[in-house]
Amino acid sequence: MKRKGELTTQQLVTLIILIVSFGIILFLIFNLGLGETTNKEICHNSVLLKSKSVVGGVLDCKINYVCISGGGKCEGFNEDYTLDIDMNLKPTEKKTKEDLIKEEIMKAIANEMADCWWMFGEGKVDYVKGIDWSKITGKKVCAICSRIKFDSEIKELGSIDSSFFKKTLIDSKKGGDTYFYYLYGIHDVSKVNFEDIDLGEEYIVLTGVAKKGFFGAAKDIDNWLLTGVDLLNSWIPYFKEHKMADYNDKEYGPLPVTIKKKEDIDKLTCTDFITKA
Amino acid sequence: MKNRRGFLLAEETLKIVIALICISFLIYLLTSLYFKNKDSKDLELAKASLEHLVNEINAKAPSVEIYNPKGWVIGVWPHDTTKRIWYYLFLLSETKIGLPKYCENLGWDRCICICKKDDQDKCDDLGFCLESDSKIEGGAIEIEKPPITLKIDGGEITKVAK
Repeated sequence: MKRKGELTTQQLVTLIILIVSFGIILFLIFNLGLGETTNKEICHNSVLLKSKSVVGGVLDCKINYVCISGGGKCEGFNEDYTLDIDMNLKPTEKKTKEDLIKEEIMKAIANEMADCWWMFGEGKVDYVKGIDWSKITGKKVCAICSRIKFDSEIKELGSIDSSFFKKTLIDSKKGGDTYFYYLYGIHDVSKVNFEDIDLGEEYIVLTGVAKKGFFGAAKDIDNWLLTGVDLLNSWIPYFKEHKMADYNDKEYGPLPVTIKKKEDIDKLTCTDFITKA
Repeated sequence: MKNRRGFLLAEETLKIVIALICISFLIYLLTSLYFKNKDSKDLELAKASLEHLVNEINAKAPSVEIYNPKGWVIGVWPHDTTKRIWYYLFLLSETKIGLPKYCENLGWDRCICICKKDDQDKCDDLGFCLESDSKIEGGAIEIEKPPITLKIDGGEITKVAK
């Protein structure tokens, strides 16, 4: 006999399914790192808005403090988020365990670089436009996207060779193409130079814009990718196709995303930094 | 009436004077608009930089990098200095530099501020402060040629030479 108010099996199952589904949705919301994406999206939107605005809007881009961890903490570093690296990878016939771990680290860095390039409009938008003294003197505006530090377990791996880094950028896919092509618009890896990555040091991922002034010379960008500005202009398609129209030949346009040791930031001779601390 | 060649009539002179006044006013208006806009953008950067600095102090980080805004000053208040006004050899007044109104109104005894100028009054006009017991030798550090590295040693902030 069915009593009034009693739950049927069907109702009970539906209720359980609903509660479990709700739990799964909550788990996904809190574990997908939506906050981290939001900061990058806010930045990307502000960059686009500024490029479209006649009077020049406000950039809302924040430096991401990233800890690349093999299980420990990055000491003396208040990270915004941690990128975990699996230190227990199984070696294959072609690759040692250390190579596989280093590849994971490089992929994490490549992702940060790709995000940076995307946040600042992939070299297609002018996010530093506006009237200021630099119209006369020239400027090199730097946009720091991320500061990267490694934990003690990763530090023990020593350093990563620049050729290994290049290889990871070529082997890893971003959309339909390689990370290397996405970042630099070319397939010829010999034209881009990186320094070795010392895992004991702190690194900065940055992009920027260099503009030549009316009288002054363009700010020196020799240290950007270890190559001269004219060479840079000649090989990066972004410079040719998306050269900003204001001054035509007086512009040098967007600087490709790069990674630099924190100590070496002064060598880049940035005139301004536009990202928030 | 004869209008001689090359002679400026009073009416034309008046027109030129009025035009000059209008152009000057327009230039003033545009310049002040530009600086107002730039200052508000810099203030946003300043807020983020100071919040980052205080977070790092609280987290007992050994050092911190400050990237912007260029030319602004980070100072702790009250400065342990006195303001003296001299008239040749005569000391007219001597006052201990107090807190910016920003901190005073919030009831803070000590605060750390980031301002466009290292001046108590100007800090109220264009600056941002947070409560802090930190100390800076000489009271203030200018963000010249960024990035600057600040060493934090038990609440004592010093600028690291490049």
